[in-house]
Amino acid sequence: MPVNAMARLFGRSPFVPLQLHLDKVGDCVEAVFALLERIREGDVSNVDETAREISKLEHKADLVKNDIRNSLPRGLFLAIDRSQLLEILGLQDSIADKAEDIGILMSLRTAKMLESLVEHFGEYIKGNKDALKKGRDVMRELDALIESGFGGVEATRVVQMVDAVAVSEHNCDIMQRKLMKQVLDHEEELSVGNFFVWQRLLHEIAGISNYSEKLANRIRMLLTLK
Amino acid sequence: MEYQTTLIVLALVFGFYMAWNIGANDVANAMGTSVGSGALTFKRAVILAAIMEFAGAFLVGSHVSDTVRKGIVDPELFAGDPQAFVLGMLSALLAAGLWLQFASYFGWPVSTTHSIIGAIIGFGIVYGGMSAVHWDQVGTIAVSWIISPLMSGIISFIVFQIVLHRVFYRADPVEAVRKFTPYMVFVVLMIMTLVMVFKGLKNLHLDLSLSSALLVSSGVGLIGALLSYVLLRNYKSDDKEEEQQQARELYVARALQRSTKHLLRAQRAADSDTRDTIDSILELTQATTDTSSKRANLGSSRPEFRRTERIFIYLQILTACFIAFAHGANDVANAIGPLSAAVQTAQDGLVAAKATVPLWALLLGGTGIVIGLATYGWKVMETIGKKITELTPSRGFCAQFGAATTIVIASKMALPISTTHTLVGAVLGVGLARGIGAINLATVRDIIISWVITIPAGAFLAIVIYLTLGLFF
Repeated sequence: MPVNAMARLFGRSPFVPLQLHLDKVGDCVEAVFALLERIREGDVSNVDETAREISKLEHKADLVKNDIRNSLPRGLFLAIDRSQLLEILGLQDSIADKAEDIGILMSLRTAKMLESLVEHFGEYIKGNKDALKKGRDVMRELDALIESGFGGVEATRVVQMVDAVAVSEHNCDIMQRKLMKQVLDHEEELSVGNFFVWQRLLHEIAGISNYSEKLANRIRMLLTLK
Repeated sequence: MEYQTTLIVLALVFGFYMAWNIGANDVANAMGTSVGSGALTFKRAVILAAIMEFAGAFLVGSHVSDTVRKGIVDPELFAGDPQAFVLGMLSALLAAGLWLQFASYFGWPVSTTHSIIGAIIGFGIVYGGMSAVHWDQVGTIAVSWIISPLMSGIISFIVFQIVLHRVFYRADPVEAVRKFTPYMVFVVLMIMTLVMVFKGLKNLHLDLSLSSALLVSSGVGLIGALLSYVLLRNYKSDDKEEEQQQARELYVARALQRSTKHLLRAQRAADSDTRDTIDSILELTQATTDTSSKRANLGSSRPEFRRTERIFIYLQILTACFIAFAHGANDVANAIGPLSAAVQTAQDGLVAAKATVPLWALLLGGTGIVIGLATYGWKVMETIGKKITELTPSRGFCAQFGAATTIVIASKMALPISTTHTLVGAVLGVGLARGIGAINLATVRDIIISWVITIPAGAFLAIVIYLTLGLFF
C-alpha cells in the first residue's frame, strides 16, 4: 500500500544521523590521538598501517556524511535552517579531515620525539582531546534543544557549554605557542625535514580544537536568547 | 411506488458507502498524529474516535449538511423534475465514494469534502448547465479551502509559541506545565461546549442564545480546569517513582527490540511453514516494540522534558477528542447532506427547499463513519502512527488544537472544509516555529495537485454515473 499523505508529511529527521556522523569523526580522532600518544612514548612501529586505518575511519565518516547530504531533499523543511545544518556537517567533516592529515603526515615522516617536548606534547594532545569532547557534548544537546524550542534553561546550559569549549580551545593555543617555542629552541637537534614535520603537526592538531570551537559556536547561533 | 423504494434504498446504500469511506480514510488522518506522538495507543484512538466522531456528527453535523444539499445546486431548479434531483444526489454520493476509494488506494491526500462538492457541481452542470450552480457559494467554499489551512497554521503557530514561552523556556518546565494545563483544559473544553450548545443541538432542542451558551461552556470549562488542577496537584518534577518507571519502560522497550531482532533472524532462516507463523508473531511484536519505544523515549533525552511531555499526553488526548468531534461535525455532511436530500425528495415526490436535516440521517452518517473506522480505518491509522516518529505530544497538542478550532468554526459557519488539509496546515504552523525536526513539503505540493484534480474528477464521475442511472430510471 502506498504511503498515506499524513504519514509522508513527517520527514526523516537528519539530526540523529548528524550525531552519528560526529561519533564516526570521534572514532577517527581517537585513533589519531592514540597514534600520537604512541609516538610520544617512542613507539614508532606500524605508523603506516595506523595511518591507513585512520583513513579508513575517515572514509566511514564520509559515507555517513554523504548519506545525510543525499537524504536532504530541497522539499524538506527543518527545525534548523538547511544551510546551517550543512555547515555543521562540514565542520564535523573538517575535524575528521584533520585527523586523517595528521595520520598521513606521520606516515611520511614520524616526528622525532625530543626529551624536552614529551611532557608538553602530552598536555597538548590532552588539551585538544578535551576541546573535541566538549564540542561533542554541545552537539549532544541538539535533541534537547529541538525539544525545548532552542530557548530557556536548555539554551543557557548550551551557552555555558560553548563557553567551556572556547576556554579549552584558548588553552590549546597557549600550549601550541609554548611547544612551537621549544621546537625552535631545539632547532639544531632537528633536521630540516623533522623541523617541517613538527611545525606542520602542531598546526594540524590545533585544527581539531579550532574546528571543535567553531562547531560549538555554530550551535550557539541556533539559540533563541532573550 | 416500487421504484421510489428502490431509489430510497439506493440512496441509503450510497450514503452509507460515502460515510464508510470517510470513516475508513479521513478519520485516520485526523487521529494519526495522536498515535504517532505516543499519546494514544492505537486501540484507544479507535475507540475514542468512534465516540467523538459520532457525537460531532450527531450534535453539530446539520450546519454543513445544509450547505452541501442546497447551497451548491439550487433545489428550486428541480421543482418540476424531482426524480432528476434524487438521481443527481445519488450519483454525487457514488462518484465521491468511488473517487475517494480510488485515490486513497494510491495514497493521494484527496479530501472527502472536495470530492462531494465536485460531484454535486458535476450533476448540476449536466442537468441545468453552468447557471444551475451557485458559483458565488462555490467560490466562498473554495476560499474557505484556502483560508482554513492558513488559519489553523496561524493558530497552531501562536499556541506553540505560547507553550514555548510558558513551559519550555521556564526554569522548571514540569512545574510550569502543571500550572499551564488547567488554562488549556479550560480553553479546549469551552470552545468544544460552545459550538455544541450555541445554535446547535436543534435536534435535542438545546439551542441556546450566545450569552447562556457562553455561560454554560465556561462552566464546563471551569469544571474541567478544576479537575485537571486537582489531578496534577501532586505531580512533582523530581519523582523517584517516575524515574523507576522510566527505567522499567526503557528495559521493556530494549527487551522487545531484542526479541524483534531475534525473530527477524529466525524468519530469515526458517522454512516456509514456520515462516508464516513467525510472520504473524513478528507483526505483533514489531507493533508492540514501536509503541513501547515511543513511550520510553518520548523523543527526549532530558528527564524534565520527558516529564513535561507526559503531561502533554493528557492535553493531546483532549485535543484528539476535540479533532475527532470537529471532524464528525464537518465531514458527516459530505455523506448525509446529499443522502437526506435524496431520500426526502423521493419520499415526498417534490423538492423541498426548506427541509431540515432529519435526525435519522445524522445517526446513519455517524454510524457509517464508525463502521468505516472499525472495518478499515484502524489499519490506516496504525500505519500512520507507525510512520510518524518525529512528533512529541506537546507539538501534537498544538497542531490538533489549531486544526480542531478551525474546523469547528468552519462547521459553525456551515462551510465544508477538508480536515486533512487543515491539519497539515496546523502541522506546518508548528514546524515554522521550529517545533518539528523535519517536515516534508512535498506533501503540500501533493495536496495542491489533488485539490486541482479532485474537483473535475468528482464532477466527471458524477456526470458519468448520472447519465448511466438515467438509462434505468
